Amino acid sequence: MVDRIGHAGTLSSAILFLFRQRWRTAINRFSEAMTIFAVMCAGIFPGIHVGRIWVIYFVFPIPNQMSVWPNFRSPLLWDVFAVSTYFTVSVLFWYMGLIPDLATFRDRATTKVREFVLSVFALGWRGSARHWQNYERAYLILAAISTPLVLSVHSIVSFDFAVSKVPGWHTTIFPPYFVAGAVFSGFALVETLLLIARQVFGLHKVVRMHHLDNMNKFMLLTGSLVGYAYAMELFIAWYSGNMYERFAFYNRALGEYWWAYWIMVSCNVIAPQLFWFKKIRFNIPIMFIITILINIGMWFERFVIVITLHADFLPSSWGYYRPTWVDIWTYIGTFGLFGTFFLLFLKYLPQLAIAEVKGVMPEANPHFGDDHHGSAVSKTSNSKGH
Amino acid sequence: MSSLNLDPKNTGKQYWKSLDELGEAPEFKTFLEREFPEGAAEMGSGVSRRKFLQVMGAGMALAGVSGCKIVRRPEQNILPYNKMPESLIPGIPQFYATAMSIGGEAVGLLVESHEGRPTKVEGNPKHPSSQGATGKYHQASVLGLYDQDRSRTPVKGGQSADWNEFWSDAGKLFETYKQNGGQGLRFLSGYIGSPSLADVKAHVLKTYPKAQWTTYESVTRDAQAQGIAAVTGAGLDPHYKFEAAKRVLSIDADFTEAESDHLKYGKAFVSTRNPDLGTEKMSRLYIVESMYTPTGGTADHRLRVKPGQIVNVLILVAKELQAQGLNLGDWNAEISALSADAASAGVSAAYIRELAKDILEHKGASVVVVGKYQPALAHAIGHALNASLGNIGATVEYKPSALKALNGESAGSFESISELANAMGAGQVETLVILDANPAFATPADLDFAGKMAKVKHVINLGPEANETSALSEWHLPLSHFMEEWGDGLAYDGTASIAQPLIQPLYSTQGAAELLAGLSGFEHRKSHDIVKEYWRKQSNGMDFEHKWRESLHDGVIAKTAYASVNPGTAKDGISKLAAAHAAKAPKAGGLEIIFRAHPNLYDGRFANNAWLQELPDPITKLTWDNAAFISPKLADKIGVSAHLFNKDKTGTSMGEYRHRPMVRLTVGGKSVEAVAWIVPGLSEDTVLLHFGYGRRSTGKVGTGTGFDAFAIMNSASPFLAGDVKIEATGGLYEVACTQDHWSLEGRPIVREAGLEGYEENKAEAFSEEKWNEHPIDPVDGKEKSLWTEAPFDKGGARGDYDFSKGMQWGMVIDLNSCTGCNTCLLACTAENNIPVVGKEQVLRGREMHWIRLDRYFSGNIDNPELVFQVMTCQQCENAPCEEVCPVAATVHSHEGLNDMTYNRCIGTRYCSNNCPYKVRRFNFFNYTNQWKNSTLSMQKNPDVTVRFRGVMEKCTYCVQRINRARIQYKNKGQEVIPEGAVTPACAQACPTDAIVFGNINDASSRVAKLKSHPRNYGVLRDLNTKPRTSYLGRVRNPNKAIEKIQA
Repeated sequence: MVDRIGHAGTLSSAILFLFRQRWRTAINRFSEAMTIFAVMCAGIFPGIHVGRIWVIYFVFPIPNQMSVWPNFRSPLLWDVFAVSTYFTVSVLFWYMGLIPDLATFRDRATTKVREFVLSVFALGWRGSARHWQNYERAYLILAAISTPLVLSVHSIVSFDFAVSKVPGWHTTIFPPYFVAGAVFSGFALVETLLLIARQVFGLHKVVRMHHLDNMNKFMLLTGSLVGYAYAMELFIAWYSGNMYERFAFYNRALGEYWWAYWIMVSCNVIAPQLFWFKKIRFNIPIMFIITILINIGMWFERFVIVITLHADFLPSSWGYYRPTWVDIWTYIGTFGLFGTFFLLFLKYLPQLAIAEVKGVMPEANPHFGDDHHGSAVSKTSNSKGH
Repeated sequence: MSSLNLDPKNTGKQYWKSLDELGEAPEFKTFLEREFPEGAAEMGSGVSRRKFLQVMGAGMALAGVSGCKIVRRPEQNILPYNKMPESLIPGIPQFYATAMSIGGEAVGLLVESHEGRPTKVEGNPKHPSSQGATGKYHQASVLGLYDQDRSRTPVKGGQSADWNEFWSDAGKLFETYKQNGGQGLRFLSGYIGSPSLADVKAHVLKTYPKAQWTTYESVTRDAQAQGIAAVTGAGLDPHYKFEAAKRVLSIDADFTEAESDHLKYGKAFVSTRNPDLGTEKMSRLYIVESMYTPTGGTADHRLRVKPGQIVNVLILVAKELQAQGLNLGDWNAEISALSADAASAGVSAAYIRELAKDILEHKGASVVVVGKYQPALAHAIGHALNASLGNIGATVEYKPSALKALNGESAGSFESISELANAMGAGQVETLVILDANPAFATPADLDFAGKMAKVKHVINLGPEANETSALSEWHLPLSHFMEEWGDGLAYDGTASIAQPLIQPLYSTQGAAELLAGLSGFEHRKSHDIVKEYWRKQSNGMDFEHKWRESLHDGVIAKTAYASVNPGTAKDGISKLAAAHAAKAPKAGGLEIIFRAHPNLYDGRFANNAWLQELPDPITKLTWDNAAFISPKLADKIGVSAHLFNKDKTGTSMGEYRHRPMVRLTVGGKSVEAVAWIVPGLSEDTVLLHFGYGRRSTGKVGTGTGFDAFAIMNSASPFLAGDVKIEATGGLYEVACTQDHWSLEGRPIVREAGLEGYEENKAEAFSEEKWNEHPIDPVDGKEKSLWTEAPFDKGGARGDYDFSKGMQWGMVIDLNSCTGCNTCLLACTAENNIPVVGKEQVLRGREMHWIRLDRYFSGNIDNPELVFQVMTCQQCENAPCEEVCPVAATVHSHEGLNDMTYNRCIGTRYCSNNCPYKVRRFNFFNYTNQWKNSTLSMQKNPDVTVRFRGVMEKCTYCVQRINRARIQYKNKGQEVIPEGAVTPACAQACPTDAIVFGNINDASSRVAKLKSHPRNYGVLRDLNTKPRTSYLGRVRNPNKAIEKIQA
């Protein structure tokens, strides 16, 4: 379920871009990469999960001799469209942002093979003003496309639950609650990864403390939103008077899986409240621990939601789920997959948006010790091209 | 139904022909030989069943990962008929009448045969014990036929041999017995229910006059026989006429489930349970028992009594009746002389007074039924009460005992086997011939039967499988299944049936009569000749051939039922039995243990039947194991309740623990360890351990499952022992239970009402308004909804289907009739090719049963009420499963069925998540592989798709039966299938007709009438699922005076 957690990277990156939040340059590459790898992991799950993977193409509306279409009423089908669209756009958005940096790498490539591959992916970027103009416009458009998509993908993922009849799932709060949760966990995971990279690669000057502070504030906000959602779920379950709803939430908090629920609440609601204190927002070890707690908490949130199934309408069918070793290793395997992709990314691709970082450096200011009106960014990135 | 050709020249064998040919085909022979080397199990003895399932599961998982390379269409050779058997149309099943005997009582069956393969068992409507219904053993018997672990050849000293060898060995041995009259020769069998076998037995005993025959059955009817004989002076069996009884007092008699003739009794009893009969006519059942039984679940008043005190409760009732003026005639003095104490029996005197009063008010329309595990004294008193209440002739009649007629006078099962064991221990037995019995396992441990077998020089064991007894035998001979051999049997009321075979013996097996005939006269007669000749003798030659063929066709021999006789009166019977009972009875106050035959495995003979192993126990829902059942209080006392149930929350569930505590039970110096399991409603200070589990040696399915109760049973008092010690060992054990949760949580899923409340306001008693908070629209009677339903005729949500037109299938399940017997579940398993998944998978909740019996307790956890609810696909018109399937693999048919398209299913399991009834089942593994290249595949119903790994499945309302009927009537030019032409397997097997199926658009159909009955309600109807299956609410008929006392 790490896949869902990391989904929000594109969201944060795109929204921050649209709002001209310059500090985003410290995190956007990380968070976009994380999103893509998380969606890839997520994409694998339906394959592992379905009974007959070899006919999984049935979910796509492919014209066939039997004239059988997928069932457009099914939220799972909406999920197929939402996730695949989201993945496509996320990849494009990420790739688009990478182009100037790939060109930089190409120009500094040490081997012929690397140069060739990078020059293919850099699409012949030379850093001309026209390139920059097209690039900026395309990037803006993609950011504008991604932002609502991010909202839609998490809403639709939440429909998988909300549209069903299962008590504890069948609630209208799910779409906003999932979006908030996604942003929340997205920031947490980005920060976890970023703190490690910052330490390992010595990015202290690029990833500044106030960047981390901003992220912590975001987590405080979204964590509180999530906490509000938890509280509303309980209230509405009680207020509805529906015995199945009431039991589902009573059982969540006090039933056989009470421990999962309270891990979730303490990690997701209580832990981020520490970010009210500035000292904590600026204390790297503590914020690292809190982000880890949030990651755990968000995993438990999904667990708590899914496990609601263990006790639904008919008490005769209530059971107690225990993971099999297959379940556990499948889950660990996704960490491996995600980690592999991420480390490959760190090794072969620019970890930070070089071009953008340059753009926000003091040196990029046209008046920074230079009266010549030109773009410091284009200059540096074209140093070899000319 | 039968397609038997009545041509006199034809001997009725033509239906074998296909199999003759199939059996001779080289492919078939090599297939059998290669897959199963003779005399050897498929897997080495070092591989346990669990391991086997693990390996298979893991193998399948890997095969799944490797994806598309799975060979999905195995190559098969089709063998055309060389000579087409007459009357056989490929694809059209044939039905043949036969009979199956358990414990010497035959039930008539009709067996469905597809091209020579028996696949499914139905009841024979013409047979008095069946009346069209079947029990679970009958349903499961077809799997027993194809059991892969059946013995295939004779085995001598562990080495595979053949019959010629045996006959030459036996010839020499029995030649000497012929000369010395059978000195040292003993025979051991279970109850013989077959007249022709009894005839052969008589012949054997004539040939060897000094030989002795022991009849032993651990599930015995001795107490009843002795009790009735003591007060009537004759060997008679009681036959209860529940249809005429308004007040029933059951003394530990599970008469709808475990007593003789229970199928018939269940049907008759349920016919009086219709609340529309009114307060005057609806019956009231009082039951006195310690462990909940299915019959106890249907009771209006259940008196929970410690097992040793049950007979005392009966004495109290008898004395109370006497005090209220009932004249017990000759027994007056004897009853007065009895003493019992209400306080030590744990019942209130006021309760007994009201009970007696109610029964006395219904003289001649009441009945006292005593269970087979109760001592003879209870049976004697029961008869005395029935006689004095004027019930004889009205609600009870007596008939000669078929069992006694066939097995002769007996001192009693356990007495006989003790005598045999003693003789064996004393070295007086030289040769022991064991016919279809397993004394090395199924005898009380104090006899040390297995140990004493070593002192017998020659043991010849005829049995269906290699087991504990065969391992200690010189010769183990394979026994034919009843579907492979000619036989006959007497029903409980004496009605004779010919049991005709359905198939040639799959292996080199013989029947008991064939073996005995060979041993007595050294002539190798075939079972067919033995049976036919016997009945020819009985018929006095009067047009025998015609009568024979008629009997074969009907499944019963006309006019063979015994006439009822007037029981005599014998004096001093009760006082003698009371004296004998007082000597044996355990002291009041101590911890008691009772032993009962396992509801699924019987005495252990069905241990290798995977269907029965995976069938949940009716009360506890345990599979694959038995357990030491204890009450919640006893669990507290011995300190295991923390690991047994959730007291922190609601105290209504067995909790989340997967490993349960082991306890050591010690009785009379012998002890056994078993897992403990709490059963609400079990009397305190009582342990119940079913016997039949704990088989040390059977096939790979049954070996090592459960715990052996025989190890602590005592032959002197086999079913009840006082002075038992129970202690937690600290060990843990995994138990696979299909329903942990006890309580309904106050949900309106099962709806109950008292008879008076129901009568006062029938329309209100089960209405949605009363039970649900969801408001109902007064105009259309539907749940109020914000959503306007799409009109049917405009291609709405359900396409162009208009459910008001054409045939629309529906089902009604009557909760007042259902006794929770589980037969429907097995019938469904057999009909729909449902796989067995094994204990490991049941532990994960992956059982595949399409129908299940939900069991709920209500009220006080120590003494609750119990209700069963059959739960299967509700065929919702607004099916939640359909709307969430991404690939439209589950869709609605124009006849209102929720259809599964297996080929389209990709196995997301989303449908199952969204099913409020949780009736959908998922094939986590390729369970069908168990059948591949195995005899088990021969059982499969060719009309039903065998499901592959990764697809969902669920109840279809037996759509294959609907379609068969459709074809049949279309051929006749009828578009509409008439009422009664389609019966799903569950409804057909149900002994109490609790399941009614039909076309709800046909106003005259039973189902349509029941749908408009005031008791009709839909489970979770407020979700607007519009279920096609609905339920008739449960109405109890409690005694107001007793309710007041209890309050």
